[in-house]
Amino acid sequence: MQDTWDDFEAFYEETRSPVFRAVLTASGAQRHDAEEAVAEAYARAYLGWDKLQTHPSPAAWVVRTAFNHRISMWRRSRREVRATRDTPVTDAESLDGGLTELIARLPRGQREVLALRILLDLSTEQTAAALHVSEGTVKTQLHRALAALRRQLSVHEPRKEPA
Amino acid sequence: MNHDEIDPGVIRREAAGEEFDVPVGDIRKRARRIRTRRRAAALLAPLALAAVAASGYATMRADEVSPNSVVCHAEPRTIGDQVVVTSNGANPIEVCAGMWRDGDVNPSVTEAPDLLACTDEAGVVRVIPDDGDASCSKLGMQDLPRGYDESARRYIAMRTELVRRFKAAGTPGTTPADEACLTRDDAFTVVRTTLDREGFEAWRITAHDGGPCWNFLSFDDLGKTIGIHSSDPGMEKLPYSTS
Repeated sequence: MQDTWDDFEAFYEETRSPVFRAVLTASGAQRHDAEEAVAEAYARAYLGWDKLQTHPSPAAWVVRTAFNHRISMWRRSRREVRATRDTPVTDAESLDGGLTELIARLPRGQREVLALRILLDLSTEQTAAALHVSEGTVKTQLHRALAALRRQLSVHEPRKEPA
Repeated sequence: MNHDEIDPGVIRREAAGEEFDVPVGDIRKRARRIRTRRRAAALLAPLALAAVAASGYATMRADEVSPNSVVCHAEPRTIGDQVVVTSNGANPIEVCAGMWRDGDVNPSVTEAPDLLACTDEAGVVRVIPDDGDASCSKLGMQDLPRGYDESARRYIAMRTELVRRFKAAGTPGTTPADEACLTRDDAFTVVRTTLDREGFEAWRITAHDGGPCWNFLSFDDLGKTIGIHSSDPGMEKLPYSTS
């Protein structure tokens, strides 16, 4: 039992922040809701750790479970959470939360691929295995997500006319 | 920043700096709470089943469940936002998954969650989102009976055939081709022969007199009754209705 706990603790320490970033950015949840969803998902991961260790990507499983839990929380509260953050983004090149808000408007399939492929840095193969889809679907979803973000960003920001 | 050049790095930078500060000990405590909840639910399940049995809510057969419509719920409970869909004979989960994808159940969500099909004590099919902990028995319902899909397909086929034959039996030359205007006896005969031919011999027919032109049907699938209705020919009318 102690070995199981030690294994889980190592997994938790290694993955918790990347998983949280993936859920916070790609689920459209507020920070508090994302924390709740991620904590719940890790607790369920611990309960099923014996089986989960053989999963192609346990971290991807936690992200998906957190996504599901967030939808469940939304249903309980009967409101949709807005994709805004309580914590200001400090990166100089950030888009002041605008990008996160646009990501939140993508279909769930695209957001999941974005979360696993980009934010969790899984390979196409690992992402496909975690989502039970083909590698082609992962590539298509990612392409569509990025293309949609490009389109939405160009709509949100007026194009400058050349002088 | 040139937005035409958005790449994965921009998204990674957007998320950068966010840390998850919950101590691992809190995760362990939360896991214990979940385990306790699950054990309590497992202990209570037989009591709930006993209560159901005591109340006379016996396991339903497929033909006791309404094939006419499906209720798609936005939350894993039987109250709250819901959409009632007239069935086309497809599997209820597929029907509701389509409604979710179209944003009809929740306009903010266009992906179908995992879904669970149940039937309530009145025989109404209710499809609820499955958050991992949901079950029909916890909500005081039963699982959809085995054979429901086949039963629903037979019913929809009968309904479609009945409407088609009813319209086709309209008096030629006296009414528009897409309307029926039958005598009472003809209306009764069309419905009875169709029910018998489609294997619904036990269903009853009730007549609702409102004028000389027998021109529409109603379907009470739980009462296993077809209503034939008459009206004045000039009145606006529906080809059929369901109840």
